Amino acid sequence: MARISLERLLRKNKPAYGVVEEIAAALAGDLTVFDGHGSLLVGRGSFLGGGSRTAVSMNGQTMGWVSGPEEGRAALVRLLERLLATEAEKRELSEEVLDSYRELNLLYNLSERLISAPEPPAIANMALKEAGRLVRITAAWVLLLNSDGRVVLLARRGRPLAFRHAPGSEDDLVAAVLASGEAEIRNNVPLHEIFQGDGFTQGDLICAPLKTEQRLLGVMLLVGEAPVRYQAHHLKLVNTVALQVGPALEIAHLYQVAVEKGRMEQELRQAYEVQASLIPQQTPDIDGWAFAGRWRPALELSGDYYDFIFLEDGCLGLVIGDVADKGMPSSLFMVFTRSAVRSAVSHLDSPAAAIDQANELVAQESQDGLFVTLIYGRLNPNTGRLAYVNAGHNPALLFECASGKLRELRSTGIPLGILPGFAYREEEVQLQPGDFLLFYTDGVTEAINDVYEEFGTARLVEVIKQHQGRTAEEMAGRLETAVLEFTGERPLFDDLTIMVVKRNA
Amino acid sequence: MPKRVLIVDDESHIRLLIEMLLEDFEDDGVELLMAANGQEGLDMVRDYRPDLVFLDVMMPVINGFDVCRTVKKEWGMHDVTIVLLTAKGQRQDFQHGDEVGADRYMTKPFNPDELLILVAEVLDL
Repeated sequence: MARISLERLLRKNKPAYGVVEEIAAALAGDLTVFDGHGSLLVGRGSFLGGGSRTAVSMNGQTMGWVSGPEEGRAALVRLLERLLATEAEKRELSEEVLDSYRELNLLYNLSERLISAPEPPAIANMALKEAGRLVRITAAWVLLLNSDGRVVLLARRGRPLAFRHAPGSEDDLVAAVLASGEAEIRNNVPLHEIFQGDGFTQGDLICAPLKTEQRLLGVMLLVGEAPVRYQAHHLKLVNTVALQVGPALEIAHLYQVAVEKGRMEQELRQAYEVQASLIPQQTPDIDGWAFAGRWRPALELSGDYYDFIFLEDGCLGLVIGDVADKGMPSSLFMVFTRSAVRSAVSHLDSPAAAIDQANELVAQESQDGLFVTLIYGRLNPNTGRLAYVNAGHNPALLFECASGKLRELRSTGIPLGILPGFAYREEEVQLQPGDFLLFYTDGVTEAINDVYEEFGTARLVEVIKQHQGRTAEEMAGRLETAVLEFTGERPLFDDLTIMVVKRNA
Repeated sequence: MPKRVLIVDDESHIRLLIEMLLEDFEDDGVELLMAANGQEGLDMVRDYRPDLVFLDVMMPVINGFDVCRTVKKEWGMHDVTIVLLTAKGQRQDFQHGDEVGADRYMTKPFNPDELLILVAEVLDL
C-alpha cells in the first residue's frame, strides 16, 4: 500500500479535493495548499512566491504547507491534519483487513492442497512452508509421536539445526505442549538446550499440537531468531495451520494403512489360492471305495489340511492335520508339514516310521511353539486294512456298519514338532463293506453358536448316526451343513476340516 | 488516454480495500473509478470505457452477471476486461460467468497479492 501523502489525499479525483477547495475558498480568498515538496495542490500561486506559510504535520513530519491569510490558514491546517489522521487510520485498518485476507487465502489454499497430498512428509513440508509465510521463522520442524511415546522428525525447514528432544526437563516446550495439547509461545529462551551443534543461543519458540479429535499426533515447532518476539496473533495463525495439518496427517496415515491393508489382503488372497491348491481338488477313484473332504478356513488362511497320497504299492495315504493357532504362521507351517509327511510316507511303508521321520523334520522347523496334530492312515483298498498313527489329533471315528457302533481311533503319540526322537506307535483297524471312517479337526467339535455352546462330540455322533446310510460325499456335506447351521451368523472360530472314507463293497 | 480501473461493488469496504491496494498504480497514471451498484457500474463503463472492471456478482437491482452480459454481449465491449468477484466455493458462478462473457474470476475474500499481479498483467504495467 502506498505511503500516505497530502498529494495523494488531494488528487483532483478524490473526494477530499473538492471539499478542501471549497473550504479554502470560503475561509479566505487566496488560501493555497502545497505538498511537502512545494508543488501546488489547491488554490493558485507559487510556493516560492512569498507570503506566510504554516506546515501541515503528521506525527512530527511535515506533509505540506498552507499559505494565505493567517486566520483561515490555521483552520485549514487543522482540517488537513485531521483528514491526514483519518486517512492514516483508514489505511491502518485496511492494512489489517488485507493482511487477514492474505492469511485467509493462505489457509484456504493450504487446506485445499492438504486434501490432495497423500504422503505425511509432503503434508508436513507444506505446513511448514505455509507457516513460514504467515510467521517469521528461522527454522521449523514437524515432530510426530511414535508408538513408544518418543518424538521423531517428520519434516524440517529453514536453518539445518538438529532437534534434540530432552524429555523430563521442566523447560521442555515440546513435552509441555504434548502434555497439555495447547499451543505455547516461549520468547527469548536459550536454544542450545533444544538444538545440537552450532546454533543461535537465544531465540523465540512457538509450539503447536498436531491433533485430531481422537488423539495427539505430534507438534509443529517454530523457531525465530531473536528479536522476533512471537505474539498471540502469531500463535493463533500457527495453531490454525496446525489444526488443519493434524487431521490431514491422520487421513494420510489412514490412507496408507488402507493401501497397506489392501495390499496385504491381496497377498492373503494369493496365499489362500496357493494353499487351497494344496488341498485335494478331486477325491481318489478306487473301486469299492468312496472319499469326500471339506476344508473351510476360519480366517483367510488355514492351519488345517487333509491329503490323499497314492503310494507305490497301491495303498492310499490318508492325512488330516491341524497346526496349532491359525492365520499366516500356521498356514506356512501346514504347507511345510504336508511336504514333510508326503516325503516321509513316500519311502517308508510303516506309518509309525514315516511319522517318526516327519516329526523330526517338523520339530527342526518348529518355532514359537508351533506344533501340529495329525492322523496318518495307510489304507489297503484291497483288504480294507488301515494302519494308522494318531499324533495327538482328535479321535477319528470308525462307524462299523454291522454292529452300528462307533469306534474311536485314539491318539497313539504326541503332536508333531514338540519332541524330536519321539517314537510313535501305530495301530490297525479293519474296514468292512458299509463301514465308514470320519477324520475331522477340532473346528468341528469346538464350533460355537451364539450362546457360546460347543457343537461337541455328541452332536457329531448324532449327525453320523442320522446319516449313516448315505454316501461319503453326502455325509461330509451333511456334517459341514450341521456345523454351519449350528454356528449361524457367528463366524467360524477355528478352521473346519472333514474327511470321510467309506467302503462300499 | 489514462488507463482506467473500475471497481463495482455495493460493499464500501471492498471498494476501499481495492482502492487502497491499487493506489500505487495511480502514480503510473492509472485512474481508479468506483461504482456502488450495477446501474452505476454500467453508466461508468459506458461513459469512461475502463480497461479493467472488478465486478461483484452479488449486488441488488442489477447483479454482476447482468452487468457483464450487457457490457460484453449487448454492447460488444470485448476490450474491457471483466473480473467477476465471486464467493469462495461457488463454482457454479464460474460457469454462469463464462456464459455472460466474464474474462477472469477472483473469489472473495480476494488474495491481495494475486489482485495486484492481475492488474499489472491486464494493464501491462
